[in-house]
Amino acid sequence: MITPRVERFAIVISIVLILIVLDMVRRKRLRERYSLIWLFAVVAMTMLVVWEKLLLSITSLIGATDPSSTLFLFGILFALVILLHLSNKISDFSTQLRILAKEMAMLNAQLSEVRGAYPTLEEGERSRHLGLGPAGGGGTEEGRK
Amino acid sequence: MTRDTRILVVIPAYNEVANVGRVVEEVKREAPSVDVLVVDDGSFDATADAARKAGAIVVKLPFNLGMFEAVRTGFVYADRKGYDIAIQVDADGQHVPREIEALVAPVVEEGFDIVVGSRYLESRGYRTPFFRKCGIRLFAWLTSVVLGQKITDTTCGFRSYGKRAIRMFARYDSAEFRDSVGLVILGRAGLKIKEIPVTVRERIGGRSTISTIKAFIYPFDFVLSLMAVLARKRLTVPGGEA
Repeated sequence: MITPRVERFAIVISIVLILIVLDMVRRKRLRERYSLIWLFAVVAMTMLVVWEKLLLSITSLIGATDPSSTLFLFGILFALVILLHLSNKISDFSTQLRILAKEMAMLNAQLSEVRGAYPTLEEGERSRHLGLGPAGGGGTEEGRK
Repeated sequence: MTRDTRILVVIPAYNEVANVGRVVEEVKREAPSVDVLVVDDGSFDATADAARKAGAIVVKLPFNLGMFEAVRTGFVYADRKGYDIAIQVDADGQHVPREIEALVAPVVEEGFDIVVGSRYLESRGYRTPFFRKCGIRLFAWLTSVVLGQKITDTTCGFRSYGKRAIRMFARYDSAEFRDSVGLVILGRAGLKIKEIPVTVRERIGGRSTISTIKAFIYPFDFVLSLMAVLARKRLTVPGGEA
């Protein structure tokens, strides 16, 4: 059962989470769109805790015996939705990254074609400009070996 | 081969400093009228320099994108520079540049869009490890069923592509274009595929890039990609200039 103590605990956690999310938006660490998903989830969870009737009716609706499993269910569901969303974003990003990498390589080749000489910059010099350390694959070189 | 057919040989290379120079030189020797493009797939050895020294045009990817994406980068190049035919040749020296002419002829003379080299169409003494052979048989069978055309070797990287195929690869950015699934996409778009027998040599130096984990995942990846492609609409050949 949801005791007053659990209720107070849940409200404190919700407030802290909301503050963190809002602060991240303020510092531009989180885009507004994502913050909405998080805020919605926090508010929904708080409502479930505070509004006991709602929690009990959902519990009986899904056939759970303990109201706390309903809370866990929603928590996990929310985490899954966010994860799926992030996977989707990563897929988009990797496609975009791939296209950008290819375009960059093409431009580089065209640039040296235009300048009529290759390489335009020494490998080491180019890496230094980019702040990647020694020549070639840069920072990832060690990790790949 | 007519004189005004512009041909680009695309050689994807990842840490192939030991072989790439020799391959480029051999291609230039056997087919003097073609341009040679080496796509350095984010190597951390001197592959790009070796290729350049041997007289190839070099496009260097900033990081490793995988064999197929390297080939596709070459197709983007071919598409934008207006080449009529792109030929894919492995950088490890397994393919015989003398056979380029045979690979090009069906595109120029018979109007095929893709000519795929096959190690198994004729027995030429190439031996494949047992498990890999099973896999290749399975992929080839599935591809044949889907395409309604007999394909014996789906993983060979010695191929030539006509203008329409180049455009498909260059302008649709889909990860499913790899290997045989790429053949399925092109076949479904109405492009004509032909297989011809080729000889495959042992590697000159270095090691094959196929790891055990990849070999295990590959069949699942293949079937999943195939299903994804079949679930989507057929692509059409994009027109116009790049």
